[in-house]
Amino acid sequence: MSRPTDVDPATPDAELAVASQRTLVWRALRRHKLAMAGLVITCLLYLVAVFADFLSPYDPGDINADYAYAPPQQLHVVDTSDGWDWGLYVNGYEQTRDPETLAQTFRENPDEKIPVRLFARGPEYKLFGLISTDIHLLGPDDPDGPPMYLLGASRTGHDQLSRILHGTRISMSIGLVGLAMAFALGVVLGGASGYFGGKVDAVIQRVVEFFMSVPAIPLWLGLAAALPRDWGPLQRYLAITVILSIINWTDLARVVRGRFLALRGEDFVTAAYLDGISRRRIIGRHLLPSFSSHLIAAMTLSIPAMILAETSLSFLGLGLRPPTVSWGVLLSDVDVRALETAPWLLLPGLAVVTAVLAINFLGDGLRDAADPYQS
Amino acid sequence: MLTFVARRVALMIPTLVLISIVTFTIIQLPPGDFLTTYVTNLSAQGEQVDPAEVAALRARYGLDEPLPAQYLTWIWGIVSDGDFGRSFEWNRPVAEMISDRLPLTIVFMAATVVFTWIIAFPIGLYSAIRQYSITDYVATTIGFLGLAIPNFLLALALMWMGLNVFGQDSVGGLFSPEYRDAAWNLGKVLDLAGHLWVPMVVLGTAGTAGLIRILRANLLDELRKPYVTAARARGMPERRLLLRYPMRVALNPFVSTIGWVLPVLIGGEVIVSSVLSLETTGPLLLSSLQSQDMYLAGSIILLVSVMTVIGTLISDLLLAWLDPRIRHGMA
Amino acid sequence: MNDRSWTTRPITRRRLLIAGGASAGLVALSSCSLLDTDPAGGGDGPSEAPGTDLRESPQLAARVEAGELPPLSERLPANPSVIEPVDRPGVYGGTWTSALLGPEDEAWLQRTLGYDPLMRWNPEWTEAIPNIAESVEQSDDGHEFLITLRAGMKWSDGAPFTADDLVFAFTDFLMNKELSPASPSFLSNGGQPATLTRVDDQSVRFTFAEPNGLFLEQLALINSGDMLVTLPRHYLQQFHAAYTEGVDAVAASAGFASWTELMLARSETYQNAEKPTLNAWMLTNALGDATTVTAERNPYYWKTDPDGRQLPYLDSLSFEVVSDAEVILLKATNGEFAFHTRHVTSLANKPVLAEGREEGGYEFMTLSSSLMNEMVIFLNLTHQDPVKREVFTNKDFRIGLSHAIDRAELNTATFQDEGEPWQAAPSPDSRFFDEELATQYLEFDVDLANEALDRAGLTQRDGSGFRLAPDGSPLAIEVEVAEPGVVPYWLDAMNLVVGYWAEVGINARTRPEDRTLFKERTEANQHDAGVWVGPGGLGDETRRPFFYLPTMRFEQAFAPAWAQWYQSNGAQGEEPPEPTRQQCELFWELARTPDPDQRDELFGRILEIARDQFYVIGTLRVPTGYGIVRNDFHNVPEEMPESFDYATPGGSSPCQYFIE
Repeated sequence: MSRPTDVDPATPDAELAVASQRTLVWRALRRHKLAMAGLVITCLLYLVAVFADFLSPYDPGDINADYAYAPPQQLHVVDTSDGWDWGLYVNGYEQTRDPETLAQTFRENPDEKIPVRLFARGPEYKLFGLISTDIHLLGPDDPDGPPMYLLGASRTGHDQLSRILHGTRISMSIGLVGLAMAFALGVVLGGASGYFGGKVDAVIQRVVEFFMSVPAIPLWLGLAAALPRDWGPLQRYLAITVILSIINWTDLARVVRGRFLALRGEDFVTAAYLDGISRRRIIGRHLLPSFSSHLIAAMTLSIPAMILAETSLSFLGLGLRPPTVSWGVLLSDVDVRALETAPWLLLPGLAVVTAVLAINFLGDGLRDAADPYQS
Repeated sequence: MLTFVARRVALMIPTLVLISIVTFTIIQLPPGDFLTTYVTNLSAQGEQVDPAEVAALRARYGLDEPLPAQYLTWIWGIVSDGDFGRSFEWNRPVAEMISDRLPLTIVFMAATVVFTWIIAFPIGLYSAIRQYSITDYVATTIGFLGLAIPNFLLALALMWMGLNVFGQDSVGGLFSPEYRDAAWNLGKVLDLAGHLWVPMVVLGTAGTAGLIRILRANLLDELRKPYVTAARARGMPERRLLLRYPMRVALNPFVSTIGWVLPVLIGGEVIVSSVLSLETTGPLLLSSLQSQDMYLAGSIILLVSVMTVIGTLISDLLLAWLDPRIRHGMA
Repeated sequence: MNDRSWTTRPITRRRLLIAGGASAGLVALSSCSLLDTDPAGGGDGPSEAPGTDLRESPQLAARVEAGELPPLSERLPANPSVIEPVDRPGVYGGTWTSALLGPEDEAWLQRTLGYDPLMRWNPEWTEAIPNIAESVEQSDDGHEFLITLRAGMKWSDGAPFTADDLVFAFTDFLMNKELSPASPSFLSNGGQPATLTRVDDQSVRFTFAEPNGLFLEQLALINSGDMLVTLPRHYLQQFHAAYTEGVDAVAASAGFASWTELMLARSETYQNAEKPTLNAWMLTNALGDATTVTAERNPYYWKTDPDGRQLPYLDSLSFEVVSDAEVILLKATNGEFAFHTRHVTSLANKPVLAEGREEGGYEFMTLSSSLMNEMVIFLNLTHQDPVKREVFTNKDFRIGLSHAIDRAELNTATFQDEGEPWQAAPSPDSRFFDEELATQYLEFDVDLANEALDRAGLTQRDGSGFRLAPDGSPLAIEVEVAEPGVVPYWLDAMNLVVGYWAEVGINARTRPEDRTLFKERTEANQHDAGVWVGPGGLGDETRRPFFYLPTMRFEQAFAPAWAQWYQSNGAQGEEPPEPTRQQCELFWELARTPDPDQRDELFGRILEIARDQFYVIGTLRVPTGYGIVRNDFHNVPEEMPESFDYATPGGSSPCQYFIE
C-alpha cells in the first residue's frame, strides 16, 4: 500500500515530521470554524477558572439572607431618568413576602440606584494564591451597601454569578486531571493489549471487560460512600476524579486496542518489524501516531464526559458537597421550585452545556486536523 | 472460529465470578447494613425501634454472619436453584421483583438504542460527507446538544414542561393512572408509547453524540485512504463507493458499542428513571443501593454485568466477522 | 378477586401468586381483548347514589342483596365505635389518591389506613381513649389492666374478633421466642414481661411486675397498640407450627427457610393483601405487588357515624409508589392527590404548591408541629477526647456559642421567616412550657458570646484568630450533618452557623454524611457535634424527651455514654454527674407512676434540671406546617397535630373523610 510521503510517520526522521505536522494541524484547524469557536471558548473558560476571584464580585460563600431567590438585575450603562448620565449602575430591589404562600416577590426599584464600578473593592482574596488584593473586575461602588446580583441569587442568597465563575475551577479541572489518569491507563494497557495480543491481550481484556461490566452508578455509590470521612474537600475532589477515571479508562483502552489490532497487519508495521526495530519503538513511533486522530477524538470526548459525570454524581448527592462549589453542586439545587420561580438557578446548566459543546467541537476539529493522511 | 468462541465463553466464567464477588463487596462498602439504614429511616420519620429487636432481626437475616459466608449462601442459592434471595426492603423474592420490572426495562433500553442509532447514523454520515458545511455544523451541534445537557436536568425540565406546557394528564411513570395496573391491550401499548418518548429522548440524545463522533471520524479516516481515491479515479459512483467498504469499516464502532452500551445505558437509566419515577429496574437499583438491600442490589448488578459480558462477547464475534484482519490476528 | 374467603387449607405458592396480583396481568389477559383500548381492570369510579340517608355503602348493599354478604346489623358489633364527623356527615364513595415515596415509606400507610390500635388518641391529642377496646380498667395499684372488647366485632373476612385473637397475638407471636426473639418493650416493665390472662370471650387482663404508668398511652401508638390487633388467629394459625402440622414443608415449598420465615412474611400488614384486617380499608394491592398500593372498604368495619351509618365513607385508597420527591411535588400541583401531608409539603415548596392551588383544585390545611426545634445543635458532652470533653461540658462555652448565632438571619435564609428563635424547650402551648428554658441565651450578641467564651477559658488564639483550647492545643469542631436530613435545610443552616462561630473565634466546619453513618458514629460516641430535630415540643414531651435528658444513644446523642448508662439501668456506659443522674432516676420513677398529674410533676422537675444544665443549643421552632386537601375532599380538620405518635392524619379518623 503506498502512502503520501510528506508526513509519513514511519519515517525515522520524526523531528521534521512532527514539526511540519504541527503547522499542518494549525492550518487545518483554522478551517474548521466550529472548532475555532470551541478553542476560543475553551481558552476563555480556563482563563475564567484562573481569574475567578478577580472576575466575581463576591466570595462564593458569602450569603445575604434577605436576598434569597432574588432575580437577576439589569446592568445599566446610561441613566436616562434625568437626562443622559453615563455610569454603571443597577436598580435596588423592593421585596415582599406573601405571609400565606411564603412566596417572595422582588421588584426593581427604579428610584434606588446602586452605583457599580469597574475594579471595585470587595472581599479580599489571593490572586494565583500569592498576591493578596481586594480588587474585583466589577462590583458595587460601596462594598458595604446594597448588593448586586447580575445573575440572581441562590435559595440561600449567594451571588449566582460568583458561584458559577468559581464553579468553573473545579468543573473544568476535574476533566483534565481525570483525563490524565484515564489516558495513561487506557493507552498503556490498550496498546499493550492490541500490540502483543495473545496472553497479554487476554488478561488485559478480562480486566477491561470486568471494569466495563460493573455498572458505573453502583461503583460510584460504593466508592464514594467508602471515602474516608476525615478527608477535606481537596482530597475528596481528587478521590472523585480517580473514581471517574476508573470508569473512563476502559473506553480509551478499548478504542486503542481495536485500532492496534487493525493496524498491526499493515505493511509499514511489518516493514518496521522486519527492519529489526524494537516493539516498544514500533508502538511509540509508528502505531500511536498513526491513529492519534482516533485517540484525540476519544480523549476530547472524555473530558466533557467527566464534567457531566461530576454533575450526575453531585446530583445523586455522592460527588462534591457544599460548601465546595462546582457546577454539579450548583445544579443539585435545581428542583421544581427553581423551575417554577427561579429559572436563573438553571444557569450553571448553561455553563455545563457551553463547556461540553466547546470542548467537543475543539476535539472534533483537532481530530480532523491531526489526521496525517489528509490531502 | 469455533475454538475462538469456545475459549471466549470459557474465559467468561472467571470474569463473572470476580464480578459477583466485587459486586457483593461494593454493596458492603458503605458503613452499616440494611438494618442500620432501616432503623435510621424509621427514626427520621419519628418512629423508634427497640435495639433488642434490631439485634434479633440481624440474626434472622443472617447479617451477623461474616461476609464470605453471606456471599457463599447467596451465590449457592443462585447456582443451585436460581434463588436470588429475598429483598429485605420489599420482603419479596428478588427473582420475582426483577422479573416484574425487567420487561419494561428491556423495552425502554431497546427503544433507546434504536432511537440513538436512527438519529446518529444519518447525522454522522452526512457530516462526514459534507465536512465543514453549514449543515455539518448545524447537524453536529444538534447531535451534541443532547450530550451536553445533564440527563437529570433535561428529565426534570421535560417532566415539568409536560405538565405545564403540554398539559399532560399525569406526571411521572410510564403509564397513565388508569392503565397502570391494567391488563395489556392496544390502549395500554399506546399509552406506554405516549409516555416512553420523554425518557427515550433524554437517554437517547445523551448517547447520540458519541456515536455521531465516532462514525464521522472513522468514515473520514476511511474516505481518505488511497483505495477510495483509486476507486473514485476509476469512476465508481460516489454512493456505491461509500457503501462498499468505508461504510463497513466505519460501522465497527457501532458493533463494538453493543458491548458497552448496556452498562452506560443502565447507569443513565438509573438517573433518568429515578427522576421520572419509571417502573423499571433503575429506581429499584438506586433505592436498594441506598437502603443496602444487598441481595436485591447485588442481583440486579450481577444480571446487568452478565448481560454486558455476553454483549462484549457478541460484539467481539461480530467485529471478527466484519473485519477479517481481526479474525486472522486472533486465530 | 374481590370475594375474600379464607380457608385453613395450606396455601400453595401458586395460589398466593394469583392472590398477590403478581400474575394478575395474565389472569386478566384472558378475559379481555388485546385490541381493546379501554383500561381493562381499572378501578371502579366513585359509586353513585349519593345522599346521607343510606346506612351503608351502595356497593355493600348490592352485595347484601345478592346474598354475598350478611346484612349490616350482622356485620357491625353490638356496640360500634361512634365517630363524630369533623364538619358534617358524608356520602359514600370516592377514592383517596396519594403517593408513597419509595417502598420504605410504609409509614404513610400506617398513618392513613393503619391507625386503629387497641386505644387511640382523642382528636385533640390530649388523652388515650378506647378504640378497638370497648373499655379499659386500670387497677388502683397500676399493675393490672382489664381490657374489654366489642361483642360481635369481626375481621374483614367476617370471622369473629375475640379475646382469643389477643391471646394468640400475645402468646404465640409477640412472646414466642422463635417469632419475636425480643418481645416488644411496651409489654414488659421492671425487666419482667407482662402476663396476659383470658377472662372471657370478650376480655383479657394484662399484669405487670411493677406499676405501669405509660401502658395505656402506648396502646394508642403505632408499632405498639396495633401489634396486638393485627394478628388474626384464624388466618395465621395455618402457618404456625404449634397449630398446624407439617408447616415446615409448606414453608419450604413456598420458598421459605422455615415456618417462622413464612409466618413472618404472612403476618406483614402492608405486604400481604391476604391477611384479614380490622382497619377501615383492606389492601387489594399490597406494597410490592404493583406500582400502586390500593385498598377498598372493609365491609365489617366497626365504626359508625352518630346516625349509625357505617364508616368509612370513602370506597377506596390508591397510593402510587413514586421514587422521586420532585415527581410527588408535580403530582401535587397537578391536583392528583386528594389529601397529602408529607414528603413535599416543606416551607421551600409552599410557593410552588400555592401557585398550583387554583389549577390543581386544592387548598392548604394546617399542621401544628410537635417539634420544639427544627435544628438542635448538640456538642458531645461525653467526648472520648478529654480536652474536647472539658471544653464541651463547660456551660459557658455552650452559652457563648448560642449567643453567637444570628437566629433572625438564619430564619430568613433557611426557614422562609416562618421560624421563631427557640432553645430546646417545650412549645408555648405545652403544659410544660417554661419561658426561661425556651428563651435563655437566645439573644444574638457577639460581645456576650465572646465574654462567655473567655469565661470558659478559651482566651488564647492562634495565628488566624481562632481560639485555642484551655491547654493551648488547637480546637476544631466538626459538626456532623445527616443527609438526607429530616429537615431539608440543615446543611444550609449549619453552614451559616459555622460562619457565625468563626466571627467569635471558634473553628468549626460542617461534615455532611449519610444518615446511616451519622447514626453509627453518634451511637459509637465518635462525634464532636451534630444536629437533629428536637421532638417533645407539644403532645409528646414525656415520650420523646431526648434533648431534655440523655436517654437516646444515637441521633439525639448529646451524651451517648450517659444515655447508655440510662438505658442499661446503670449496668453499662458512664454514670452521669449528679444533676443528670437525678434526672434519670426521676424519669424511671415517672414510668412507674400511674397518676398522670404526678407524672407531670416529675417531668417538670426533669425540665428544671435541663434548664440549669443547658445541654444543647436550640435554633428555631417552626410552629406550623401544612398539608394539601383537594376541594372536594371533606371532613379534614383545618388544623391537626403533626407527629408520628398521633399518626397524622390517623388521629383525626380518616374513616370519616369523604368526597363530594
